[in-house]
Amino acid sequence: MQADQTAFRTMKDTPAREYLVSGSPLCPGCGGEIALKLALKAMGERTIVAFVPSCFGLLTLYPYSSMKNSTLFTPFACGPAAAQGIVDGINIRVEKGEIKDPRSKVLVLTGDGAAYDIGLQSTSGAIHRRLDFYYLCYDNEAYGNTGFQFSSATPFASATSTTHATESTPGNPLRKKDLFEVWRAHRPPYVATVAVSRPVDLLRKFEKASKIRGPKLFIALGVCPTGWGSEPRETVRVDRLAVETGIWPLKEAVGGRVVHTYVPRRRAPVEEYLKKQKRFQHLFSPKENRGAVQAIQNAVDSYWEGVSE
Amino acid sequence: MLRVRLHGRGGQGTKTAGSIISLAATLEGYHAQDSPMYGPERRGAPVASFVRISRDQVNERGYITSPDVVVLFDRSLASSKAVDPLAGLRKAGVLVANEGPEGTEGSVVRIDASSRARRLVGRDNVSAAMAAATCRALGISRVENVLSAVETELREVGLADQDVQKNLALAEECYSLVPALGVRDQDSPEAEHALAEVRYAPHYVSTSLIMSTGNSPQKKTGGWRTSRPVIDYSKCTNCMVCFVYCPDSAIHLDADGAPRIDYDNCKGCMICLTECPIRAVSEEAP
Ligand SMILES: Cc1ncc(C[n+]2csc(CCOP(=O)(O)OP(=O)(O)O)c2C)c(N)n1
Ligand code: SF4
Ligand code: SF4
Ligand code: SF4
Ligand SMILES: [Mg+2]
Repeated sequence: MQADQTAFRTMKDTPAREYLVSGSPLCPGCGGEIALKLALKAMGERTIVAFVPSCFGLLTLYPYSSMKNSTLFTPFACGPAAAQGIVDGINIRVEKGEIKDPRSKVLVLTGDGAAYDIGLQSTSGAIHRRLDFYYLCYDNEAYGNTGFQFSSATPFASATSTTHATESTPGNPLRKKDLFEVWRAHRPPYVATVAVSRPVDLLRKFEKASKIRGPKLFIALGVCPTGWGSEPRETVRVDRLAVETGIWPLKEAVGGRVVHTYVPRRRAPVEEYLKKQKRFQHLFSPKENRGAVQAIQNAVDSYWEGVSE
Repeated sequence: MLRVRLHGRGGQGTKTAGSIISLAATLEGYHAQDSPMYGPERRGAPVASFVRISRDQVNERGYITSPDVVVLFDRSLASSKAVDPLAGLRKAGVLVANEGPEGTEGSVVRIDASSRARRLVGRDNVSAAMAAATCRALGISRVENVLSAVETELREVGLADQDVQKNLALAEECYSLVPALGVRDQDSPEAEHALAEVRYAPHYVSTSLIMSTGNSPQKKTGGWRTSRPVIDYSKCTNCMVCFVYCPDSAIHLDADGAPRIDYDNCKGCMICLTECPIRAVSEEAP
């Protein structure tokens, strides 16, 4: 039923209007930038963006802004608190009769460092208060802007500048935190994962969320050529491999019920994804670390065994 | 004091080269200091770093505006007005440039570090090569100390063993190719630049509010490009794939729905080339 109402059926339905413009200070081939560009297309003009220190914090760097939207830059831990302030400020002015309801949307835009670690408490508070806002985390799986230090979003075995690959440790020894489930445990009305290699899925999810009041939360895979050591020109391919290997499941939970919006029919072996990235290079050369690769494959397989819809 | 300024593009190893030169000098008993230019610019974007070398303690700080030595990692930067790498180079100052044909004329040293790096290391990261050539030209460090500095700094940035070894071979080769010019160091301090007086201002003036939105196309990031995507309109089907995936919104659709590339800002990531389903995009010189 929902699908029938969508404005997005094929890539050709992608809105032509840009809200993210050229000339940004982000790296060539930044995957997260594509995710933001598409999200803003779906959200439209009346979107106010609150963002925090991160690569994307640089999208406004005096005297330049790469967004046509109004923006507010806030401290690292405070994105959702700033969103509360924006929403309250608008509501108060509307109540006082000073302005007509602008029907604006408020988007908190952060990296994984803020979403998974440093800003988790203010997000928890905002979801609990059922603040009417959007949250988009572009997940490049480390603290990218400061030199790619590991975060709780860093996957197992990834090398970062703080989890070097050595003889005894194959990069990060810890598993990636499941932020989707952490957020879902707060019972938000809408939470989803997205990936740019499936742009129609991404656009539809933002469209669907726009009809819902309350917290609407998104985690986008943010392929990061600079930190991951992948080729900038392969960003969308790497993203597609993350989806096709099953490493990055595409799903949404409306009112708490999880549905996978795309299920890769024959999952590609995880190696195909890992081999494209220098951060996993030590798993294959000088000699293959079969145990670590198998552990990554097993984790993916056991995830999908538990998936029924 | 010897002042060295390095100009390159993000990803070429400009900052690491500065650290190698500085460490090599320290190992010879000099005082040295190195720092990169702080900025958010990324892979392909022009970057700079600075090294000061002295027999005495180095108390000078900040960017170097009148260097004794300029190290140029990318010849395309030489013609860039915005970067102007030779700006302030002292009379009889030395230029070490990554370009062929190789050779030394007066105080200009040319070394084709990129080709050598591609051959010996397999990629165009020239930090070890350019640092070794510079150390030799300046006569500030013996080869064993240069190699030890290369090893320390490359391990520091997390390079794998086999790549460190390849870079050591590259550094040794580049060191041996360059004559020692023995640059005389200067005792005079850098020309002082008057500090601008910043008056107290209320927050709505002093905070960097950006009142204009969507104005970054004026930055013209097209200069970051190392290759240029070109659409063959006789093949293009206007399928929109490149338009959807261009991270920088550097492709727009014209009135007929055909994709048009904004070369003033296209960063040359080549995603449009990889994703075009019918290979209508080709790769050309930037
Ligand atoms: C409270 C605080 N701690 C640390 C920093 C420094 N800092 C700026 S950006 C950044 C990395 C952010 O990582 P992430 O949120 O994953 O975004 P990314 O840079 O990867 O895009 C850090 C640590 C800061 N600005 N404020
Ligand atoms: S470091 Fe990674 S996430 Fe940050 S701008 Fe560069 S590619 Fe994008
Ligand atoms: S190379 Fe293509 S995809 Fe990349 S910035 Fe240029 S036009 Fe956009
Ligand atoms: S992806 Fe290729 S065919 Fe499609 S619009 Fe772009 S250039 Fe044309
Ligand atoms: Mg991050």
